[in-house]
Amino acid sequence: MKTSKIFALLFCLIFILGGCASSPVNGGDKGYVKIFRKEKIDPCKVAVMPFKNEVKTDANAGEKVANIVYSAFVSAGVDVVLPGEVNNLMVGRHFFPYQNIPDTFLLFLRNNMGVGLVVAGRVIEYKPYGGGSRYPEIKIWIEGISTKTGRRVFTGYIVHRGDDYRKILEFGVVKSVARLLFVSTDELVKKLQEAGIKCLEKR
Amino acid sequence: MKIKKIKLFFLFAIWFFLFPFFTVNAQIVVFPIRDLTTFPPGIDLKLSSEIAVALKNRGSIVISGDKLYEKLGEKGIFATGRLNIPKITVAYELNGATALWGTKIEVDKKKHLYGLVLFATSIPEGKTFWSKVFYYQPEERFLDIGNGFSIKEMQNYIVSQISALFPERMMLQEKKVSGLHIEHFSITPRYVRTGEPVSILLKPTGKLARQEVVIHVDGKSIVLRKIDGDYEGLYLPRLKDGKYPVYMILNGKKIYLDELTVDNKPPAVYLELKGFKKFGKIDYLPGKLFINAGLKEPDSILHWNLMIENEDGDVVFKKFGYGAPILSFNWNPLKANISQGIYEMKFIVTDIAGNKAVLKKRFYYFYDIPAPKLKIYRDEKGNTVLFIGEVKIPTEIEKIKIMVYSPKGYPIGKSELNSLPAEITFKTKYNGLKVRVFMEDSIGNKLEKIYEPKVKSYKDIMEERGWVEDF
Repeated sequence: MKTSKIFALLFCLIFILGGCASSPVNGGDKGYVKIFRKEKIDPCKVAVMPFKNEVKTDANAGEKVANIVYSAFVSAGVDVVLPGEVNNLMVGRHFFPYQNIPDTFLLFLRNNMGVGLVVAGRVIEYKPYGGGSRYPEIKIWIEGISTKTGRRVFTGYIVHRGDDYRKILEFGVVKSVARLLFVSTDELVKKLQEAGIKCLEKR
Repeated sequence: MKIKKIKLFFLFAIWFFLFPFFTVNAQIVVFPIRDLTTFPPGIDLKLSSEIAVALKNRGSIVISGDKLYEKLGEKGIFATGRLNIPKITVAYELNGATALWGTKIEVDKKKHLYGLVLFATSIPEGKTFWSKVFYYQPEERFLDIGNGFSIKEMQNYIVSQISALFPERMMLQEKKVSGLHIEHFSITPRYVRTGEPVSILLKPTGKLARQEVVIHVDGKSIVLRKIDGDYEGLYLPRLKDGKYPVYMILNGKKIYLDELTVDNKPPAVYLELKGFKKFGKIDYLPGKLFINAGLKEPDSILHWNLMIENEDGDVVFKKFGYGAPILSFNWNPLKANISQGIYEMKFIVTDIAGNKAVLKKRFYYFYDIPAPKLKIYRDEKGNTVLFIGEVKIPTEIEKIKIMVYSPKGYPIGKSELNSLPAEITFKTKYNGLKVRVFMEDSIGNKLEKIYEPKVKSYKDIMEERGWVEDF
């Protein structure tokens, strides 16, 4: 009898502790993808510029994020300019990621390549999974510029952490940064579609 | 028997005619996977070859490895870079229908993580039509037991997923590049003066039969002729200042290629100098010079040059740079250790088209009146002699006042001189004296100095002069 009681107690304890683990520590700042400013536009082709890297720990973070954003647009059925091509054009015109984009560059993209929207941004935080409670974390600022008007069509902010997707205990937690980026950029593209950026819906 | 033979013949005929359609099917060109887990980024050849093998096992025709690298090498294209049109051209020349490319995003041996993005791009359109993020992370199990793959296991898992999911485009007939696809276009220089030649180069993708191509600058047409597969041409712009779009009309559509800027105006420049004093028409510099220079209007500047030369043309000071000049600094001639004389400052600014703006300024440089040498000694007769040495300055000295005091400060005498060097003879018994010298030149420079020399004996002064006599 005694042993069975101890087992029952242990079981209860595990349940209680498990409950603690499943409740998020910081309920307030759960990750989000937000679009702040939006203007209706129907770009049938998008150019993704290399993202500016503001992370000191990973020198390639900008390119990694730009690649996944590129992938998200492709998966949504949008025609995207090849990244090597964008890079060549930038080198020819002497400007760097997240700088003011020259008028002539926008004109070139619009007239010669049929691009309607230029996507640029910067990576503010990029932390891979560190084990224990340090889940992967990303903070990305993203903006879309219309090649027709040269104005910003939308600006957005992606803030996510691996444990934003937690179901219970460690179940559902995202540990791979690649997956976290994939999930959050997918969310971004869906929100853009909702916001009325038309050509993303067309196929 | 006859019927069997006819049947066999028909079967053979059907196989013979349909054979080409079945053989020319999906051809996937596997470009090396870009590896972003290292810095600087590299390529993961092992992973790429594994993907190629997996796709081959699936039944697709795959172009990869040495065949691809040789072709890339022939064209002088690096395999490491991102996918661009030259690479698409290579894939087209290898009869590819789909280009597989991607980047490796994360690999973590300890935490058992693996991430990869893959893209499929159609050839020769260059449109990316498929993409997927492949990843591996340890599956969460109760109590976290038996979790985690090694890197090789993760890689195998992802490669198997790729071979199951990568799309296949059937290629039933050989494709042709429709119209003209531009691989590269350049005008050099992009900034010119009227009448200067501009060379134009246009590289099409693939091989074209056309012998010439026409492009337009401000409505004027320029014919580019075929040389070694590329189209080249020269153009002499007889245009006013301004920016002119360079375009091409293809299938009734205007294609904007680049922009030509004609610029005949030298850049508008200013040069402000503070620290000069005026004497008639001459500017002279008594001390530090404050230099302020820049552009009055924005312009695209190639380089600028600021220098100070002496009369012989030797450069005493130089500052130069590329891009628009913004100058604001102090120049100290004393630190530059230059001699007195006439100098010329030149500020030359050249814009990208080659127009030069030159600003010049001539000035005199000399120090403030230097203090003269002063000696007091006794002569043969026992008189005291005050000797004042020469002063070398470009201007003339107008006033020279000398006052002599006793060591305690009682005035003994004063005199005014007209020129230097000079000697004043007087009588005193003191062994030390105070002498106040005041000088002013024609521009208004002043010198005021108090000397406290000891009176030297006749013997000392003679020895100093080199006369040694027996006393």
